[in-house]
Formats: sequence, C-alpha cells, structure tokens
Amino acid sequence: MSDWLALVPKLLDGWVMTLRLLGVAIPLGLVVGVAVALARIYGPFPLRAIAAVYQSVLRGIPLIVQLFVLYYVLPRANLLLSPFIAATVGFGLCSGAYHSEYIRSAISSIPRGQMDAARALGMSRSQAVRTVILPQAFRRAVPGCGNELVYLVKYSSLAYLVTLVDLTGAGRLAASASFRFFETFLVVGLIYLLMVACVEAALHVLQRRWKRSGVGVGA
Amino acid sequence: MNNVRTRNLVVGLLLLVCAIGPAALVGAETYVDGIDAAFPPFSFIDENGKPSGFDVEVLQWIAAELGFDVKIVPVEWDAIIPTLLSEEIDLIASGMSITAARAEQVGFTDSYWSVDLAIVVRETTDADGEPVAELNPFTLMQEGRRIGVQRGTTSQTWLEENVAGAGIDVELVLYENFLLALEDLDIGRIDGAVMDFPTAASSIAGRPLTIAGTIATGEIYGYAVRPQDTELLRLLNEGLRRIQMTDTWDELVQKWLVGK
Amino acid sequence: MSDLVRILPLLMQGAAVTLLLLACSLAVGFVLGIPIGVLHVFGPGPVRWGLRGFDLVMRGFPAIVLLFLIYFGLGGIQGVHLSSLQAAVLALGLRSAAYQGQLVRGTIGMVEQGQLEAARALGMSLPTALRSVVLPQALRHALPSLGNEYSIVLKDTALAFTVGVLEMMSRAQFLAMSTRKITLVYIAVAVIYWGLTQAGLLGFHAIERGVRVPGMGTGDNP
Repeated sequence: MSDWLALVPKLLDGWVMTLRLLGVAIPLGLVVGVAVALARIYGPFPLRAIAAVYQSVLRGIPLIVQLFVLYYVLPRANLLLSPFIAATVGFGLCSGAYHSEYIRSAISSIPRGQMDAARALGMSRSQAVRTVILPQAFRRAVPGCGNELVYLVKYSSLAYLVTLVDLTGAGRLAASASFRFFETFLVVGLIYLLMVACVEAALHVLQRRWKRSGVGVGA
Repeated sequence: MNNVRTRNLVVGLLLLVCAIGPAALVGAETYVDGIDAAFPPFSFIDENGKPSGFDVEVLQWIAAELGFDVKIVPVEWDAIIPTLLSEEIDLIASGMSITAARAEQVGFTDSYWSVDLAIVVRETTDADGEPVAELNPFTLMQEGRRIGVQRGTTSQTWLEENVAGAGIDVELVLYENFLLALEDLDIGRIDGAVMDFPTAASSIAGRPLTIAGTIATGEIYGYAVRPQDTELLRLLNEGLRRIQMTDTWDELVQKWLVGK
Repeated sequence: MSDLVRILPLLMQGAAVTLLLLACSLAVGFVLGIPIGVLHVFGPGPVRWGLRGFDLVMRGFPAIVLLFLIYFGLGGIQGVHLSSLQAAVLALGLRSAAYQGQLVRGTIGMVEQGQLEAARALGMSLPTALRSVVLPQALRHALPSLGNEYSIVLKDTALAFTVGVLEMMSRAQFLAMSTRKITLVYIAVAVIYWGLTQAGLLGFHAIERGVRVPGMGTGDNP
C-alpha cells in the first residue's frame, strides 16, 4: 500500500499537466467558438459555408481521430506539432465547434428588433454586435457553453494518447507499476470529478451574477 | 403503443444478451491466448485482421500436436498480466520476457528464445554519402534526449532503472505500441527508440532508421500462465520440447526470426 | 486509389464492431435510462440519493477512465469474466444510462402535472399512468436529445481500442502503421465516422417525424 501511495506525486504531476492543457484549450475554444459563430451569422456566403462545414466536420468526428490527424498526419505535410501544441489545438478546435453552435443559437434567439434599434441609433453593425448583441448572447449561451467546458475537462483525458503525461497518462503509469488498477483509476476519476464540480460551481456563480430581471431565454 | 414499447424493450434486452452471451461460448478444451497485436515478428494482427507471427504459429502447431484448441485474442499489452489473472485469457504467448517481477505474478514455461534490446535511431548520410546512424548509444543516453518505448515493456523498465534511475535525465516517451514510437522517431519528435531486437529489425525496413547498438540484456522469452494452472504449463512445456526437435521449428525460425 | 480499395474492406470490418458496440451501449443506456429517469422523479428518497451518486460518477468521470475502471478494475476481480467488448458495452452503456436517465427525468417534467393527476383520478395505478400517459410524451420530447446521445456514444466507441476492442479505430491504427499510408487511413476513418454521425442524425429525424402526434407540442420546445 505504501508503495502505491508513493506514486501519488506522479498523479499530481499529471494533474498539473492537465491543468496546463486546459489553461490553453479553454480560452482557445471560446475564441474559436465566437469567431465561427459570428462567421456563421454575419459573414458573407463563402465564410458562412466554411463555418457550417467546420461545425459539421469537427462535431461529427471523434476527438481521438482529430488528435491523431493533428499529430501523425500533419507531419506528412511538413507541419510538425509538439504533443502539447497538437493536444491544445485539437481540444481548442473541437471545443470551439461546439461553442460556436451554442453561441450561434444564442445570437439567433435575440429579437431582431435589438439590432434594428441599434442601427437606427447610428451604430455600425460591428458596434451593435459588440455592445448590444454579444453581451446578451453570452448570457444566453452560458448553459450550453458551460456544458461544453465540462466535456472539455473530461475529454482532456485523451492527451496521453499523443504521449503527454497528463492525469490519465500518470494514472496508467501508476496503475501498471503498482498493479492496483482499480484504486488508481478511481482516484484519477475523482480528481476529474473534482475539476468538473469546480467548473459547474463557477458557472452557477456566473449565471447568478449575470442574471438580469426581465431578460430570460424564454422571452 | 404498448406493443411498440414492448418490442423495443425486447430488442434492447436481446442486444444486451448478445453482448454478454459470447462469454459462455468458450469451450473446455479451448485455451485463450492473449497477444500484443502489434509486435512483429512474434505476434501481430496482419493486414487482413488475422493473428500472425512466430509465437502464433508455434502455438498453433503445439495445439494441433497435443490436441487442444487455441483462440487468439489481442490484448492491451500494458495490462496483459491482470487480464491473464482475471481469467479472461489463459496464456500469453507473445514475445514475453521472463523477469523476476513478472514471475512473482505468473508461471512461466521454459524459455524458448533469447533477445537483446535494440537502440533505434534515425539514419543520415556522412560526408561520403554513406548511411550512418545519427546518434550512437552514448550520445543518445544523455540529458534532454527523448527516447520512445512501448508502454509496459522491458525496454521501459530497463531505461527507467539503468538510465533515468542512474541519474541521466532522459525523457522517456511512452507509446501504446512501438510502431507508433518508430513513426515518431521517423517524424523527428524523439531522438531514439528502444525495443526488442527482432521487432526492431523487422520494422525499420523502408524507413530511414537504423539500429545504432544493442543492449545485451539477453532476455529470454517464455509463455505465461496463471500460477495455479500447472497442467497447462506442463502441456505447453511438452509442446515446446517437441517442436524444438522438429524441422518445423527451424523453418519457423528461418521464416520469422532470421535476417529480415 | 488502389490503396483505398485495399484498406476500405478492412476498415469496414472494424466499422461493424463499432456499430455493434454502439448499438449495445445505446440499448443498455435506453433500457436502464428509462427506469433511472422514472426513479429520479418518483422513487423513494434513498433510491434517489443512490442514483445521484451513480450520476455523479458516470457523468463526472471521463469516458476513458470509466473504460479503464470497468475493464481493469471490475475485470480484475477473481472469477469475473469480462471480455474487452463486454467491458466497453458496460462502461459506455452505464454512462449512457446516466445521461438518458437525466434526459427522461427532464422530459417527464415537461409533461403537465395535470395529465398525471387526471390519469390517477381515472383510477390508473402510478406505473400504468406512467407507461400509458407520461412516458409516451416524455420520450417523444427526448428524441432530439437522444439523437445527440447517439452521436456522443458513437464518438466514444473510438476510445474502446484502449481496452483492446478491435473496432474501427484500432483497425485504423494497425493499417496506418503497417501500410504507412497514414494520411489515407485516418482521413478515410474520419469520413466514415462523419458519415455514420450524419446517418444517425437523419435516422433520428425520421423517427421524430414518424412518431409525431399532432397537437402534442413537440414543436413548442424553447
């Protein structure tokens, strides 16, 4: 038992790597999500089409396939990504596709009148989007995007398959070194659960703070 | 409406049964052999999805000779011993090195082959245009180098104990199978890879890779069974003894293990 | 091109296993998800607490960790015979059951309370009322999300190779590494997965249309 406990620091190292990955992938995903959503709604036709294809492709293919393409196929085109970059880009792009759909539908749910009123007040389209539409859209998109963040935290566990020693990778090492597979993965799972719970708590706080009376999704 | 739901429930349960059912079908005289699915030339799943390799063919010969059936299934190498102990498979005939640590968990047959470890690096050309290894074992085993191995192999253990353990700060990169390591070596993400010699020799053909040196561990391969399965162990040892006295053994060695 | 002709049948063999895994996992999820959803709403206290714990684990642990837990952990217990496929079906199936349970719980809530009361007032027992009045509507409401669940489980089957299931992803890896045609193999696999996802979505749309009851309010979802 004590030699199993000695492996715990390794798990913590893996956890740190997971946090580093998420630290990059989460913002990347949100940025991509907003960009693609805006492209889908306000872009010229070719851009809208590309955005729609992007959404369909990245949401219709398993994340693991996307990671392997970034890691093993791109080098064939002379694009060599390090494991960390491959993983964060993979997570960010895939997550961004899901975010973009939630944000797009949130923007669509805002009554047309708001944009008309803003334009009537003399705002340019981009001003209107930035100051009137997007703030409301974000508020409405929080449940969906929050959900996607939870998924990202869990699916970051695939990083070990492109040789990164994240929490899951550390877990595999510890488990096969100690032969205690069940205990190790139980602990690993609980740590993911902890992270998920933190994200959900943060979202809860965010939703309460952003609540505005009279403004609701069902309006 | 009632009927639709009932039908759906029945279909769902049937699918459930289909998933669980096959467990019951393995007969008494059939032994299940777990193999590493990507470990040529000893065991691998070939392009057509069939198990193939030296260990596979030897075991099939033994099974035919001694009158039992063998079913070959690919298993996660990293967890192959727990898979054996949990009785999902009955033996492991897959280029498995006999080590003290493993022998504490399983029973091994007599050894049937011996290998060293190979150090694989990229191949470049020297001033005369001759192919030469990019690194030699000494320049490879230095601080900061990235060395790839397959998860759960003696190569991993050797490097952990003798390189990382001796204070040389190499970065050990783990792959699900060593073919992925060779691919990454080819691409340039790692500086070298360590694996069993026969597997290295048979897999670097056609790639700009070369064997820079060997680690003379003199590992011996044996089949593994559960410690309590003494009868199966006796059968396998008898089979190994017999085949090694035949021409088939020499033919198989020629076919799989000599000069690829 | 001839390479494609050579690898495609092999990938399709893997796809067959993928679909088997998908179907069994969704079936387990469906068959268990309905009672779980019902119990979430109508079950006694301790049962609901137990389900909440089950939920927490199944939806808080990554799918791949669940696969490892069941394959190595459960399968590691003496006397338990669990093949890779069975472990994967169990892991993905239970996870899907937790999600589908939440789904059913939510859609049960969408059926007006009054309907249940009226059914009970007419003398139906709770189980009958659920079976004949509430669930038919709840399940129809759940269809779009079930389509989503199909998509998710399909993509999760690609993780089963880590516990030794010879589905499409594992086939792709052997093929890619042994034929060296990495780009071709992984792009082909990506296309097949995408195709299967679209086919599923179309299928669910068709089912939605097929079981639609006029006036039920399927279209009123916010």
